[in-house]
Amino acid sequence: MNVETKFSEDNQILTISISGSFDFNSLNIFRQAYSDDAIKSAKVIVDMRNTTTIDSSALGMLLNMQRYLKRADGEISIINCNPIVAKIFAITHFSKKFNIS
Amino acid sequence: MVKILIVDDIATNRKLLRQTLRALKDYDVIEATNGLEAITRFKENAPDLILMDINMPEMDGRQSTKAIKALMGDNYTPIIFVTALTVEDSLASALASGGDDFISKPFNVSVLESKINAHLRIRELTQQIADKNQELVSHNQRLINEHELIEHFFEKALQQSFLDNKYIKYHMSSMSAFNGDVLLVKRGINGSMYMLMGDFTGHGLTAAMGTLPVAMIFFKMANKGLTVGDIATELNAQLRRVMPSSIFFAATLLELNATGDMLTVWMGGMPENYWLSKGGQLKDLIHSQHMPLGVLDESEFDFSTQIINVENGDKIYLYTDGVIEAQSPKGDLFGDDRLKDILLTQGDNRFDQVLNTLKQFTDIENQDDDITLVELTCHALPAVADEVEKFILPWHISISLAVDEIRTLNPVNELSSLLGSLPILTRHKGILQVLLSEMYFNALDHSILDLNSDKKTDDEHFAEYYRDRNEQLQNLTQASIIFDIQYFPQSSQPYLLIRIEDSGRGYKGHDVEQSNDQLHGRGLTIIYSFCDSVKFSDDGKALEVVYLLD
Repeated sequence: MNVETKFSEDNQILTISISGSFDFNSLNIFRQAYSDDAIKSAKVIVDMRNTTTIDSSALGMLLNMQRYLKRADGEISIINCNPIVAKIFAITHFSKKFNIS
Repeated sequence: MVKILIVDDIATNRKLLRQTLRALKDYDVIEATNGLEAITRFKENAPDLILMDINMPEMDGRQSTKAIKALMGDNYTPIIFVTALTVEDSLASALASGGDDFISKPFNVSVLESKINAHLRIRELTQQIADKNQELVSHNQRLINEHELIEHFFEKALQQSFLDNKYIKYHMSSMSAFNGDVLLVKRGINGSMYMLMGDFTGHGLTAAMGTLPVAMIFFKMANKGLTVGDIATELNAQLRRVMPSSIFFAATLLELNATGDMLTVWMGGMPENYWLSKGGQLKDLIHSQHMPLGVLDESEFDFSTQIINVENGDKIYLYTDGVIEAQSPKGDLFGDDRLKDILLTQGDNRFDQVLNTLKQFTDIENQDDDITLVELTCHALPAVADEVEKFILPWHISISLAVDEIRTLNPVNELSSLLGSLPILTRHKGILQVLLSEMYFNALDHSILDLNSDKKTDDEHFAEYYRDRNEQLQNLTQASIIFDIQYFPQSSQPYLLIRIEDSGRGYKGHDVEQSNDQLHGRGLTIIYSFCDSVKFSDDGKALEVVYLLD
C-alpha cells in the first residue's frame, strides 16, 4: 500500500491517490497525507484508481479525515472505485458522506 | 494497319473496291465471296470495318450482318452495305438487320472515303469507352475483393464479443457495408462484463476504420478487469493519436459486476440511456457526462464514472443517435418522445416494438445513419469461461497462527493471495480479502486484544486507539488464531465455509446497526452483506461464515 498526494497548480485541489489494499496498516501514512496545513482550504479528492481493496478500518479512516478536515457531507470526492470497493461503499451507505464515483 | 473486309459474290466488284481502297490508303484488304464466308473471315481476321453486298448466294448480306453483329458483342465493328438497291423497303430491312450505313452503287469515291473514316472514328471511340469500362469493371472487382477482405478482417477483430442474449439483446444495422457503430462485449478476469457501445462520426469505411484500434484496446483491457475509467482514458489517447481530428467516437462504456448489482458507466456524447426496473418502471435516465472519445487532449480528459446500484432484472436501454434521428420519407424525425413512449408502455415487448415501429416509420431503403439498439438485463453473471475447469474434490485448509506471527505479521494478504491463486476463487479474491480481513481484525482487536471501538470517536482518539492496539499487540505473550477454510463443490451451489477461532475472550457482533457518523462498526455489516450465513459460537470465540461461489 502506498499513498501519494498532489496539489493542483493553483493549490485549490488536493488529490490523494491510494494504491494497493487500503486497510489498517495504512493508518499513519494516510493521516500524513491530509495533515498539511495547506489542505485546510483545498478541495479533496481521493483517487482509488489503484486501490485493490478496502476494509472497515479504512472506512473509519476516511470518516476520520472528513471530520478532521471539517468537511460537509458530499464535499470530499472519492473517484475511480473498482467494483469491490464501490460495493463496500454501497453496503455501508458511504454515498451519504462522500461523493463517490 | 486498318483491316477492311469486302464481301461480294462478284469478282469484278471486289476488284474495283479493292483498288479504290488501296488508292485511298494503305488498307489491309481481305475478301469474302458470300455471307457465310464473311462470318468465317470475321472470326479469323477480326476486321476493323466491313463493306457488305446485300444480294449474294449461300447467305445474303442481311443474314450475315445479323450473325456478325451477334458475334461482336461490345466490340463495335461497323458494317456498311454497298448496294445497287434503290427500293427504300429493302434498304430499310438491310439496315434493320444491324448494318450501320449504306453506300449506293455506283459509288462516289470521296463519299466512300468519308463514310469509312467516320465509322472508323466511331469504332475507335467505342473501343476507348470499352477499354475504360473494362478498367472500371476490374477496378470495381478489386474494390469488392478488398471490401471482402476488410470485412473478414473486421469480423475477426470483433468476434471475441460475448453477446449472450440472456443478458444482451441487440440490433445493429449500418447504412453501408461498414458500420461506424460499435457494440463490443467482453468478460473480465474479475468476473465482470464490460460493454462498449459507440458511434464514430460519419459512416462507411472511414468511420469503421476506428473500430479496429478501439476493439483491440477494449478487449485487452476488459479481459484484464481494468476499470472503466482506465479503459476510457486509453481509448481516448489512442484515438487522439491515430485518427484524424475530424473523427471522434461518442461512446458508452460500462461494467456490470459479477454479482450483477452494480454498473459503472463512462458516457461521452451519447444520447441518454433508459434504466427500467424489472416491472418496467422508469428508474432513471443515465446521461452523458463527457465529450466523445478522441476529442480532448490526455491532460484534459476526464475519466470519472457514474456508479449505479441496479437490481436483479433491471434493464438498461442504450442506443445510438441513428435511432432518434431516423427520418420518415416525409422528413419527420423518429424523436425522443416516440422512443420513450414505446419503452415505457410496451412491457417486455418493448425492444421488438421499438424496432418494428422504427421499420414502419422509416424507409428502410434510405437509411441515413448507422443504427444500434441494445437491451441489457442485469443479472448475476455466470463464471468466466477460464474457470470452467471445476474443482470437484472438496478440500480443507487450516492455518494456525501462534503469538509470534500474530504480533509481527498480517496474514490476510498472504492468505487471500493463496486462495485467489485457485482458478475457482480468482474472481472472488477481492471480496475474500475483505472478508478475511474483517474476520481477522474482529478476532484480534475485540477478542484477543482488549480494545474498545467506542474510543474511535475523533481524530485524536482514533489515533490513540491504534497506539493502544500496537502497544497491546507488542506485549502479547499468549494467543492463537486459527483459520479453517473448507470448499464444498456441490455442482448446484459450490461454497466456502470460513471459520476463524481465537484464544481470546470472545466477541459477539453486538449491534450491527450503526449510525453513519461512527468511525467504527462497519466490519460486521460488510461480513453480513457478502455472506450467505454468519454464525458466532463458543461465546464469540469462533465465527463461521458461508460464502457462495456464484
